[in-house]
Amino acid sequence: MDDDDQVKGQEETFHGGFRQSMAWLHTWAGLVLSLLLYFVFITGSFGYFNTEITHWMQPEMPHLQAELNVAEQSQAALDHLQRVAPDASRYLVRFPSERANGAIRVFANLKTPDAKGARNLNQLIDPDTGSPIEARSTGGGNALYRMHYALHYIPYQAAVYTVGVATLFMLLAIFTGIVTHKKILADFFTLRVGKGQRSWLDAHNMSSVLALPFMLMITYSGLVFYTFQYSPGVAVLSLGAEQETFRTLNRYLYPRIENPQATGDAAQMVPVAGPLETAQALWPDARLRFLQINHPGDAAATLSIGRWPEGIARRGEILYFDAVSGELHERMPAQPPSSVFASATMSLHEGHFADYYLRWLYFLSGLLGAAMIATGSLLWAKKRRNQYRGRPPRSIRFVERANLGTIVGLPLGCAAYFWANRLLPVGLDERAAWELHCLFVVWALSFMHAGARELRCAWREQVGLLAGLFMALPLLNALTTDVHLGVTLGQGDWVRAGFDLSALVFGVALLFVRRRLPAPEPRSQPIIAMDSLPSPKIGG
Amino acid sequence: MGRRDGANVATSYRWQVAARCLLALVGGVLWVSACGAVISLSLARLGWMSMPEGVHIMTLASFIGWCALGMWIFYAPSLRRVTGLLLGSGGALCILLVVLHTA
Repeated sequence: MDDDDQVKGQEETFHGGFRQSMAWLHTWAGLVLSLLLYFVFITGSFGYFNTEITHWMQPEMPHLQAELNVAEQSQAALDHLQRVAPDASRYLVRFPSERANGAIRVFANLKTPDAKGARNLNQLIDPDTGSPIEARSTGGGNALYRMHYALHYIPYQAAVYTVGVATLFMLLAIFTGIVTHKKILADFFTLRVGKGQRSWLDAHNMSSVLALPFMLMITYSGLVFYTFQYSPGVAVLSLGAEQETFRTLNRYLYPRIENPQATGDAAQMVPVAGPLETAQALWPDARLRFLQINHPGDAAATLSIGRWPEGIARRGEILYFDAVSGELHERMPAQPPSSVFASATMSLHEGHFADYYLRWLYFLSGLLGAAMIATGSLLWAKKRRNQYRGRPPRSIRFVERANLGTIVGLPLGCAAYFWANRLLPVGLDERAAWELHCLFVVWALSFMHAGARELRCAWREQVGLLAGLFMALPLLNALTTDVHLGVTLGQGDWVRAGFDLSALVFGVALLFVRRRLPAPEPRSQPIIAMDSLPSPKIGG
Repeated sequence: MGRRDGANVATSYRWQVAARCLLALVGGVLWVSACGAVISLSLARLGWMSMPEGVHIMTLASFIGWCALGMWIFYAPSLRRVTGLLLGSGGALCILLVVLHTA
């Protein structure tokens, strides 16, 4: 960019009135990490249906509708664990939530690695038969959910800090966006279609205002998850920088019962029916979440029973028993008020308490957040492009293509992830990892395609492909599994049927979007002729 | 505007942006941390709440505080004034911190 252009750029500086300064800050705080934030919003939105996506991605999983008899099924699960992992330091039985398919998940921490070198056993068992269910290896919805804060291919801590910085910038962009707005209510209802840059601004304003409370909540609560990592300063200056200080602080804020050490003396454990009866007497209407035994078979064995949290509480209550005598030892200690607030904030972020209607609202609000970021990035590029009569500078063209490669490329990658789940061989080594490789390979191809083709043409092709991939997903499912719409609708398996139907609806909606995209520009002159046009004289 | 004048203004503008970014990212974080630590230590000294809880509340508030400070840093017309106020008040906060720790 030459100096004259830079001078012109100063029309949008932070020098000026309050609104002008804040508009400048809003643009840059939002833009700098916008594509990363788009990734976070898209993958995070999928996270609201992680259990349902996993259920669809494991077609071998039966559609179980058995009523849960907790006492019988817990004992059956524990018997199974004692059979397959007799030498374990911990057993955990997780009861299904209302969203899951009815299977019970069992874990065991092995004292010595098994034949494959694994230190943990993790199985799903049929609650009726007590036998393990063999399902294909997949990342499922949890892999998408995890990526929204831990990214992929980079170390966990680096990813968490990168996402944290992006989230802080987003919070700043939201605050400055609010103070920049003069007419929040009018923006709620304004969308002028087909007016170029104005339309993008309307779309950006509308998506922002429509989901503003959600954006504020989701952004701030995202920071609360890693409070002391993102903002360690107050704790360091008040209490010191030692690791132990932070551990003590966390133990104070989120108190828990410490498990006693194993004694090494063998002891017979009580049947779990007794403690379960006590739990059900104390929580008559509660749905149990888990049953855990530490040091099974040892004289110091403890048994804890947890329930699903009520309302927006994040932690459900836990009862601690002596696993040998069956006596109730302690209930979970209370949290101090600040951590109750933090837990409620995190719970609002995760939305575990939400029923299906609210879950859909979360999902759609997440997509609106992604739309807000996408329209903001497109608006920025469009505005810069309009400043040039001929071919815009390389930086603007790069941003335009990066926008396409991310805004459409990432959903294309997600669609490829679902396709890979059905097309990769079931017995493939590291199958779950390969599903994710497919996501990133297709995303990279989308970037390459965006760089190689004329921009409008590339938009139409990629959106068309995305629509096709989503629309064909139920068909692919029907061709590769026996849990297609014809079966799932008949069985009342609404989780799998819902996934197929949603894919179909998204595909049709994207087809409609594709029809609205502008036609490719006719290439009357070769590009080299456009390059030879004199540079625009701006602000001279 | 001549080409040379334009270049000078552009360079000055770039330095202004860089300096304010640095002030917001480094100065802002340090200032908000010091301010939060002073408040949490004061609350603990007054016996209004325990130290860990005060630290937690001020850390939770620090994200909002940093945004507000960042907005002010980019709004204030004079960079010199912003730097002076941040350094001055930051110094005062450091002295208060030392006093609260040693008292």
